[in-house]
Amino acid sequence: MASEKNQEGMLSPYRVLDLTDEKGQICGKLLGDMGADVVKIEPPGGDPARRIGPYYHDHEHPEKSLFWLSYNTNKRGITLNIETDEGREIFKRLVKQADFVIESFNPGYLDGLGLGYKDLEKINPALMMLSITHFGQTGPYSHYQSSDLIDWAMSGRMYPLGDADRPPVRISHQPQTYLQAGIEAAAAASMALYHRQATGEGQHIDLAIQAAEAQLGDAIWDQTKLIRPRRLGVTAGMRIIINRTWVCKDGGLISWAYMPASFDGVKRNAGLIEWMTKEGFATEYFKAFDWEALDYTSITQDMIDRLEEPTRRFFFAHTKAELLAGAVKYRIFFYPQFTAADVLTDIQLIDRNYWTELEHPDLGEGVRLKYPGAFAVSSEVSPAVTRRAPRIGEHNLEVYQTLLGMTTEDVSRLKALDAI
Amino acid sequence: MAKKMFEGLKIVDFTTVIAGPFITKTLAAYGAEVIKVESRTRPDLWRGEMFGKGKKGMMAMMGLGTEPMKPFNPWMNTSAQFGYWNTGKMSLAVDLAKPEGIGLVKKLVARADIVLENFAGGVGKRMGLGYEDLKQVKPDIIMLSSCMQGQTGPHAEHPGYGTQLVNLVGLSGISGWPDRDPAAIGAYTDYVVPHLSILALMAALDYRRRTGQGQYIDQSQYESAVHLMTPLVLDSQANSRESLRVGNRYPHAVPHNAYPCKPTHADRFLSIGIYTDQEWQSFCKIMGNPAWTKDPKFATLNARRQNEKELDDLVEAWTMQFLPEDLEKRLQNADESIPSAVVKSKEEFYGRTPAIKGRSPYAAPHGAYRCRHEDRWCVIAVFNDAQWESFCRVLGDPPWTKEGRFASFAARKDHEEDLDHLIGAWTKGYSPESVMEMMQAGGVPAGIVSTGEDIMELDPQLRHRHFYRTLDHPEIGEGTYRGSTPSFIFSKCPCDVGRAPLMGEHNEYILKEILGMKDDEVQALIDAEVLN
Repeated sequence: MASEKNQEGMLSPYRVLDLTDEKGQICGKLLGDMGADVVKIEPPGGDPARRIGPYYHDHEHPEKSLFWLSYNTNKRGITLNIETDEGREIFKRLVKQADFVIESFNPGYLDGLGLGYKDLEKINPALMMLSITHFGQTGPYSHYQSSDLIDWAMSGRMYPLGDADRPPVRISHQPQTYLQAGIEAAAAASMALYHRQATGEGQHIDLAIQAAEAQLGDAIWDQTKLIRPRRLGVTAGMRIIINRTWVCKDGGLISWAYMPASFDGVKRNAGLIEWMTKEGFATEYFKAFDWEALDYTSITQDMIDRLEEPTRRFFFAHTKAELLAGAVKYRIFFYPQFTAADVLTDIQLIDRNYWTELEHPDLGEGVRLKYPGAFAVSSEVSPAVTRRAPRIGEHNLEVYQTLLGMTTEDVSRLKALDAI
Repeated sequence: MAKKMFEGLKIVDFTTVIAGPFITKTLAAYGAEVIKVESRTRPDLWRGEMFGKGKKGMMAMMGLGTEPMKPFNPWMNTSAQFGYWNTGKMSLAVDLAKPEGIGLVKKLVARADIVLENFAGGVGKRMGLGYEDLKQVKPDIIMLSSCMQGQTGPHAEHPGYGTQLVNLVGLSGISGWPDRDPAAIGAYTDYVVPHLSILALMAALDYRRRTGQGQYIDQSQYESAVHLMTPLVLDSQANSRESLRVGNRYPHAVPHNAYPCKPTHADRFLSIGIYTDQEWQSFCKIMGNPAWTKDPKFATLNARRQNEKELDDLVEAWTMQFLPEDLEKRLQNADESIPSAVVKSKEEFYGRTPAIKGRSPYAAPHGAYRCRHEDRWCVIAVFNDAQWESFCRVLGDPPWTKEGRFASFAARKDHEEDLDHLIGAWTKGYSPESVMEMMQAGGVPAGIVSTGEDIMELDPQLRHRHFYRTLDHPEIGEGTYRGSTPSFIFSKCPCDVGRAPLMGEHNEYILKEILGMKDDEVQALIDAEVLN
């Protein structure tokens, strides 16, 4: 483990108390990747995010949620019932020794328990507290019920996504808006740390998931007062249809569209034209086409069809792997549409030692799982995944003994009081 | 005024497009000194005319334009996209192909804390701007390179933008409907990765404070973004499952979808002005030459003017079927182009569309015609029985909600399609705003599917958070900028957004005020065409 190498981690002096549910767990995970000591605090019985699938071997069990395992690596796990008097006192003692508190409760919940920022800053003025909510701590929607689907919709990102003849659509599976917001939260936490080093003061950070996602929407309306129609990306406007997804020999899909030279002044189509010509796929029309003049505002559908026909044959004659290798060789802007399994076997990631394999005795003997590794590689200390996600209360004894000096008896007594 | 968060932090920024500039845009908003190094010979993609001034550039980008695209011209200060991604920065225009240019930039690096770049693989090193070169002039420099797939490995030089990288990461494959091609989610990774860059940079600054060491950070945007996919990566290993796109389905909630609603907002209009017979013939053809167009009372301009009221009703009956933007495109792209423009109201038409207005009183049809309302949607997500009961109450407990096929969560999942159909039939009777309000009053998670208009003009929550700000710019003009307050609001550190720089706007300031160069030294650089 990295900590045993006696090497100073990028954020190793700092401790994080993580109270978040699925809305913010990637934030603490990332701070942990940077070396911070992250203590995940769960209510007795376990965090709600443990009930999010998929599950290991599809066994629905709070210790087997793959969502939980994904975003709680590099954390120690304790249980604590902050709704009891004892629990609150213990939490305050932990806060004295912490640099960050991250939480994602409904606005006002912690204030109601006497654990809001106003209470905690009295205990620890240098504390940096991050609150992650759907809409923010204040404002007309702050108490609205929400979810990933609703945050996505209300950010303006959903309306243009999907097909014109169907409802707007979200990204499937894991809640992407929460991941986006959690990543922004980690950036904000690190910015607050910079401020603290300069001034000595902590502060409260109010992060809204809706705003995180809204920031990323294209600014079409802002700049043109037009509403971006759905299915952009498959059609150029309504006048012509351009193909952007191509089927390969082995059923794989490739994303590619011919780019006009006016896009960035670079001959983006040259590599593919060269390759297709070399292999005899280029028709006379294709060869004679004036690529410099390619312009989607004036080209006709017939012209597009005549360019796409040989292209379709070309893609269909090659496997996904051949096309990826060729794209690198000829420096072409096309990319295969990978699945998770493709990502796992991608030679680029393997070559860069991206994956970190962790042992999972909790899931069975000899079980090992590969996790995404460093999100950036540093010449000093790279972010690293060194610890699998904790089981419920796995580090109770360790944390309560070493941080709060409790005895085994104290811990048993608190358990009996339902505090942990 | 209180000291800004990053006052005194100095950044030399070679990055272009989004993933890099988003980092420095954010840090500049909190007081960092950001010098964007660019040049005529190596401009930011967004400087291009394709993304040119306001509407025209963006329309061309969307494929909605009517004017042919112009060749790439890097000398643009008018691009709204550039203006958006580069707020608060200074611009140094310098030719990096000249040794004096490199020398100048190194002087800036010598006083900087952070250098950012996204040159194509190896280019920085060849120019003498690699980490080892820069460490010579500033031993504790923190340098971050952000590129598609990292500085090393067999695919390091595979070119691309974020719009392509989403495919590799696996995000495309899980976006859209199972029976269709993936939905185009755009350059999603470009928006996720910069915040990881900020985390790495802030941590590096803290590390430098503690140890005195600078560092080099090689950020592969691919490797950063795969963290969004971890549950599916584990699912693939643990359960050998290949997860693809499933529309709006989600195992933990039902109903969980977007539902059609009654149109809301202001009426939508397209102004049309037809003058010549050719235009009239072309217009009739676009309408599909309906029988009434053959009526002699519309045969000539004079006849059409005589029967203008009747003509307007007939034209409006046709325009009502379409969205104004779609129609505008069709009319303008016709072989015989027909003057037309989207307007928000008849009042706007009479005030603000001189090109068409000026044709009156000689044109007919001539006016602002009501079009179809945009499609409006709401989203509803019901996670448990308590929410389901509230949901049914909001609907007024119609008999179908009591049917056995919807009696439990599992049963509702099994009949999700029927359920969606019944809900859609109900939501159609209400505006999305009223569905949201009714559901929220009952404690059911629900919202509107916001358009750009909704979030910019109408969303009270984003307004409450000062999400938009208006900035003036000498060449772009006044514009409203989203994300002016990021998703995070610091209780003690306000943010302050300044406009984007013109190309080379700060050359003189940077050379004279920051580097303390004399007039003749600056003139020598100008004469040698180092500053461009």
